[in-house]
Amino acid sequence: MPIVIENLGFRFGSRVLFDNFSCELREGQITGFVGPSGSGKSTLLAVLAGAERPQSGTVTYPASLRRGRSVLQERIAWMTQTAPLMLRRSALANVSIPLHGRGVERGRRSGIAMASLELMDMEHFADESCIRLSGGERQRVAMARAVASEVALLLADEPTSALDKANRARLLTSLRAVAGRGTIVVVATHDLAVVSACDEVVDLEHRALASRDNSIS
Amino acid sequence: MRNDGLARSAGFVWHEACHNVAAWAVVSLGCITLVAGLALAVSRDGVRRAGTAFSVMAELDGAGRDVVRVVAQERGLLPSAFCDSLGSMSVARSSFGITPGPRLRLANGVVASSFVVTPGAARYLRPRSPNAGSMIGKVLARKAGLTEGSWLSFGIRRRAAGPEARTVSLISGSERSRSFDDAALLVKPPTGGSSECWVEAVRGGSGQLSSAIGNLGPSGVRIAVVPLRPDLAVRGDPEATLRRLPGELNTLTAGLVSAVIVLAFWFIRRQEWALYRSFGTQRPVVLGIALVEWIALAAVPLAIGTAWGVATAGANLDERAYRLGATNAAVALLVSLCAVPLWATYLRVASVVGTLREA
Repeated sequence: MPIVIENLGFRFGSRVLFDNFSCELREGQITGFVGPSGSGKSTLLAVLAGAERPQSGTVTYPASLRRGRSVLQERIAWMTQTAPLMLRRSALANVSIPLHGRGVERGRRSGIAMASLELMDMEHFADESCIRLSGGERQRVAMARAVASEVALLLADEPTSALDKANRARLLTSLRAVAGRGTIVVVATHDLAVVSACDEVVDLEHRALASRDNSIS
Repeated sequence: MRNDGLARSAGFVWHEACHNVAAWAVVSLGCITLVAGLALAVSRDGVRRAGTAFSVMAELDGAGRDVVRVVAQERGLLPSAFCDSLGSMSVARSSFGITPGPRLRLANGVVASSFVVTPGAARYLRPRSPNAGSMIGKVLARKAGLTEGSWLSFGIRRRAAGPEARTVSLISGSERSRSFDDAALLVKPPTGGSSECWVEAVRGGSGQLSSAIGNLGPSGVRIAVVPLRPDLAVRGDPEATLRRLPGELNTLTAGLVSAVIVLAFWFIRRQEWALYRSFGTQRPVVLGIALVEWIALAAVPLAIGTAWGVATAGANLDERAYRLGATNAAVALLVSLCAVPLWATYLRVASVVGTLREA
């Protein structure tokens, strides 16, 4: 079951971001939102994460993300543009926190967190306080946290903005692996390498949907 | 399933809250200890200055009686014998229902005298008592088996001051007291420590009382006996005001320090709360973390203030220290706890997006 956005309307004051915007986000696929700055990519992710409410229109979540009429927040991981972390805590602790919140046992928690850090080549920094990490390293820890969370919806906002080529490739591999578990992965990006890795791309400037081969529908 | 979820959330809340309390307790501890130290220094200095400036004074109390104050001018102690002889002038003891109670010897060498009074007299005495309503006084009164309505004078002296050291006691009767009219002369318990006594007479009786006290003057200690004169009369007690002022300033400081800690905590933690939300932690769980950690943190100044107050009172400063510590702590706790409903409101209405963008 996909996430269905229907006739979404959203504005900041007099500035209209979305007016009757609709699209579908499918399980097991990576969907990319592209567009210039201010086109509403981050806002759309915030709406999907439940942090902002649609001013009009609806967002319908699949059963895996709902309990009754309410959205299961704990099944959503949202990696924002600034990749914020708890800076006074270690990288491992940062990756473990959401797992703890979801009730994963302590032993398993550490294993999953370490595996995610390894995936992002950050296992050597597991015990390092995040305040000592560079911007790119913090972004990788944030990504490791999102990957470790075993969620049904993963939202990543500019996940590669501070990464070099090798780490970007690692991140895309892990995003693909997450999507392979049946997770809906949504990425807001300017990065062409990320765009080319997406199964579907939504151009927010022209409000058009393109498939992987970039044919516009 | 629901119980499982609750237990899981409670464990998570506890884990996260403990982590942050540990970090913030250090800050809180440092600030409150600093305030406590300043409070002690300022308070003692204020009392010393107050003693110099107002060693002699007269006062007209609210009841329209003449009040005579007897003070040792060199900040020495009034000898017990002198106090006893002062007491010999009293004819009011029985009419006031004041009866000497047991002498209490405390573990730290403090000797306290106690007096049992009738409820009516207790009402009269309490406003003048330096220890009125004190927790220690109440505990000691209960231990001594004093009945309700009893009043305990809890003066503190070091054992080093001698086995006879004690609080200035209430007046005991003697032949000499009969030269005064029962209705004209009333005697109050001492206030402020053993360097001074208050003796109270009905209007017009203070001259007679003053001369009688002057005749009793102790050898080796110069005393000042100040009968009422309307032109010297002052409302309130400047010394008491000066004593109280540093305490009030320190309480204000404690409040300000607490407010600064609250603000610092707010600026750092609100982004982390938004972060919890961004990886799917539900709002009630985040609120639970905030509540637990802040209530636990607010308890830190309370514990420190109380411990400090009790320790310094036990070290024979005086009860002001105990009260000041407790007051500071209570203010800090209050300011801290006031923040919790504000944060709860914030978590309800705040935009997670906005908060994370600020990060």
